[in-house]
Amino acid sequence: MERSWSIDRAAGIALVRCRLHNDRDVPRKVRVESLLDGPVLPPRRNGVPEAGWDRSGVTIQLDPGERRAVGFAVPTDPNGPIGSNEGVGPDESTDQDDSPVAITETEPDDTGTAAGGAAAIRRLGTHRPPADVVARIDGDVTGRGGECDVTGRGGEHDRSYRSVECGMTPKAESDADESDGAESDEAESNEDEVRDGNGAGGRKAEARATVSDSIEADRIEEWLDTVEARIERGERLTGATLAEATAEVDDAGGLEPLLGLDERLADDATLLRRFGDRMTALATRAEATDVPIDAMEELA
Amino acid sequence: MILSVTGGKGGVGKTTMAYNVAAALDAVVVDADLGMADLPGRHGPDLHDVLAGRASITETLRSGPVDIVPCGRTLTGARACDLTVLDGALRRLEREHETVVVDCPAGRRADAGVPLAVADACLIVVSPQAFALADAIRTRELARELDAGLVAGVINRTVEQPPTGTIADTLGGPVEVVPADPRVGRSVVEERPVIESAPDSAAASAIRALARRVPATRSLDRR
Repeated sequence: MERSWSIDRAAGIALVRCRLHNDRDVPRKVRVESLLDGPVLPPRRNGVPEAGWDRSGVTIQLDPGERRAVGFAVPTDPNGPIGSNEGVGPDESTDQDDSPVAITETEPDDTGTAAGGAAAIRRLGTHRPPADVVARIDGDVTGRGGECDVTGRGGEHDRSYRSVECGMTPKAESDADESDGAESDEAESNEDEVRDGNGAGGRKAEARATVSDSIEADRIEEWLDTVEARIERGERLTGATLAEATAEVDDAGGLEPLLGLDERLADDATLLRRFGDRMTALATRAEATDVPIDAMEELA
Repeated sequence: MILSVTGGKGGVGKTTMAYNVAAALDAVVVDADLGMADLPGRHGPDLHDVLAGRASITETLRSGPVDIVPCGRTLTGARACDLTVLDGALRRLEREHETVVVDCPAGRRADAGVPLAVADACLIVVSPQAFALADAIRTRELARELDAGLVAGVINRTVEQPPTGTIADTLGGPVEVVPADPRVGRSVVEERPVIESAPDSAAASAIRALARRVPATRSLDRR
């Protein structure tokens, strides 16, 4: 078995890539195990880890002569060394001091067949109705929401973490049959503001401005619009031809407004990341709460 | 035994078939149509809660002429569902109730696929119109890919003799014909399975014939 690996570290994440080659004439099963300190973040499809992956690595079967590349990420110390590193695993032992993975041959077994349900989720499209549709339908028709996706990211890209987040959604939030009136409506309005602020159209945000938080949400939306305009300008200027750049300068009314765009975009990126992280953390915490209203009512 | 009742299109009568076949099998019926629940609901936890990790499936059981696991009716709830939980939940129900019939949503997305992947076998409901057959074929392919053996195709709500042979050949399995009967249509809302409300009707005997095709389980042996 030939194997080599490389590791890239950035922003507190280590990306480990391994290349494997079965140079024999028989199928072989290999276990790639992370030696890094931290949980393995496996490749996912529709939110479900690819077959063979678990918390510490992956087990894969290689046909005779087959080459395969596998990779995973591990959250590491954000203050750790930055950069990349490469190595080649010699023969059967890969226990070099700096190797991020242990690659061992394992006995062929039958445990490789993934649960049918997980395989189906990986293969088929998501069942989740898009966030903006949920806001429109559940919001307007039933008058209640409680969408767990507080950050309003919607779409395809956030599915991998959705199940974890939603697993912690408090019951009252999305149970249509419970009469949890005012509290739920208020929560819904807030969420809709935020969601709309991320591109689902601002109409509803205005129509529903019934709680004080919505004013703040409007301001966040305004700010995001400004930042987005700036980013779009930066994108148009990135790798632009002379003609495109000239047009952009004309459009901006001279070179003056474009001075310092780089720094402002860098600041935008920092701010967006900081808020984004905080919003995600807050959303997770909000979802993890479980106010025992029933019990309190009984006690009251 | 977990039996998924599926069909390519909405409105072909999957829910009605699931309910009535469950009655004939003395089974529990699970409404797994996450975005468009059809079986009668109730107050309290439902399948959305189970798939969001807030309730155990046994808590959601609503007893009646046929015991039902209802499904929530909000898209919010549908969006919050984690389908990886369905397998364990249905198996748990099966351990306690022997036979579980799952009313599946239409389509080829994960919510339609996962119940098929989890099921031991499936029924595919086909509407007699020619244009509906294409959807049934796609569903048959999906079931094949996901290893859900076909118990039978169900040609539902027929008014004239359908091309049974063609449909059986196309689906690659036996076919039962359930004639149009308003008592079948009403059975779900009224919660009166047609084998009880009209035991001598042609529809009831078709449903009993379908149930007999379901591989032997303990509940069938009891009969």
